[in-house]
Amino acid sequence: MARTAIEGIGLGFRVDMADEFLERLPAEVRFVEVHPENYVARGGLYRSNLARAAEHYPVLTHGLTMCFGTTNRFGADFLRETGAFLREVGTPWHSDHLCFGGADGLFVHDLLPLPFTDEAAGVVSERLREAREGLDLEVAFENVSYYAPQSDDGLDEARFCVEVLERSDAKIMLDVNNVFVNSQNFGFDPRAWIDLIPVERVVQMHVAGHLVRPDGLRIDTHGEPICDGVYELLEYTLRRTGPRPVLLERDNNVPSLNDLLDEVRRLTAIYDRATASATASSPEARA
Amino acid sequence: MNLLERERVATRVCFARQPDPADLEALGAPERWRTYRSMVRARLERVVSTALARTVRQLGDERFAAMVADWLADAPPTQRYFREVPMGFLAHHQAALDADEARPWLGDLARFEMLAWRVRYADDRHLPPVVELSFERPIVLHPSVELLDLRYDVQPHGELHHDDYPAKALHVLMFRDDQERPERAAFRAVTLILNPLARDLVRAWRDHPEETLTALTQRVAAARDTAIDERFIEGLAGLLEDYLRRGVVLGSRGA
Repeated sequence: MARTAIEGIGLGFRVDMADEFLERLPAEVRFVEVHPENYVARGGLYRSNLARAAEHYPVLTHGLTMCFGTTNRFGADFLRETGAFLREVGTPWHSDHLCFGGADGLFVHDLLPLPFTDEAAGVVSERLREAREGLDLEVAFENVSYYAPQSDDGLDEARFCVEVLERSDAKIMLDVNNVFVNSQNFGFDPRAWIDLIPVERVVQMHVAGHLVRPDGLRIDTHGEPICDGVYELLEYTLRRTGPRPVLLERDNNVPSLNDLLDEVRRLTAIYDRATASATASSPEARA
Repeated sequence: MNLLERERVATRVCFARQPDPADLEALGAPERWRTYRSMVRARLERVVSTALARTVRQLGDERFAAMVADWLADAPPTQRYFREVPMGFLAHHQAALDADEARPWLGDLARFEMLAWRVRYADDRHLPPVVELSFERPIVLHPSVELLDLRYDVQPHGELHHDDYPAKALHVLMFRDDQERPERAAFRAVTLILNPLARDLVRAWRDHPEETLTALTQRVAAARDTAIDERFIEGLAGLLEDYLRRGVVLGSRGA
């Protein structure tokens, strides 16, 4: 299906809230995002929900297991099945994570941190190219939250992302919450991080809530409300990038749809304010 | 350490019964890697306990935790799709559950729950063209249809949890009911109990999707030394009518 540009605030489409969401079809939500791994080779409730949602909203896709830092090549069957699903829902790009997720055919089903080294940048770039060719679609990587400090012999995370973008000619699905979480865990300026990323490479953003453990470590749980720091960083980022689709992720402790929509409305206000400002100050707007 | 080695060490830290201190040191920040290990294991344990809720309740926390530890150490997940992870757990432990002397029904309970889990998400996107049911064409079953022979009646019977299940041989047909019904929401796994003849018929229909309904019915009747008389035909007609109404049978295969 041909799509017009996707903008505004979207919501991660999850089975926990699907019934009420499909009943109400909230206009505040401009698009939905799904994980292909939850739909490929699957029938029943998930597929039915997705078909109903796709009648009313553009669908973006965000993978869970490609993990672009994996040293193993992707299987041809997996790329073919995933590619068919992506074409079916008509997503303009597909994103997955800048991490690894196991070894030698074993899956940990979590996002393990890459070292920010030249070797890792090479592997990621190769996987991104392989994914783009295999899926026949633009691909974007998501910067992840990481909890183990990386060794001193590599780049910092933002420069690592820039290096991968340049080598692979891929896009970035910029997770603003992850930038914020990492900045708090490792003591860097999140705005300086954002400033390094070339805006023309940013195709989409994620925001979410995170957990602050008693020892101060922040964990990207997608199970809490968004904190003020993330709202502020999102506004800063949108002022730089201009309009990009922004997705609210909520996977755990899923609250009522009304509570989620309150967050969507707050995000929309930020989005409108920031992108109006970004448009007004852009060279095209002044000409 | 190159990236491949790092992936292997990190995966080992996540799945080993106890992480090797040398692996943790090699990755750096051992406590943070213990955090990763905890998150990975908690997520995998959670999906198993969701898929096999009744079985896990019977096992109790301690035994289940030990079984998870054995599974992750000895046969860690190779399933890309998260929903398939519980199958790996059960494949590793099915024989032990079947051999449980105190609860001889435990293996059947796990088998029954796993089947319901699979049936709910069975892929149904590659159906052949379906026309009205005809004996001169192959029959088309709902793609989720599965058969299971049980030694114990481990059905929930209205209550989710029981502490005992009677010995009773059952031939079970399970399928996903895609229709909204007055008594249940759509896409639920539904269990039907079959007599041996019905079990053989459904198995033949499922395993030989190229052969006509007539040919398969005759073969099953012959194998069971059963005459295709008026009573047989009436029974078969009733079965097919019921299965069509329930959505177990979708019709016959078109051209």
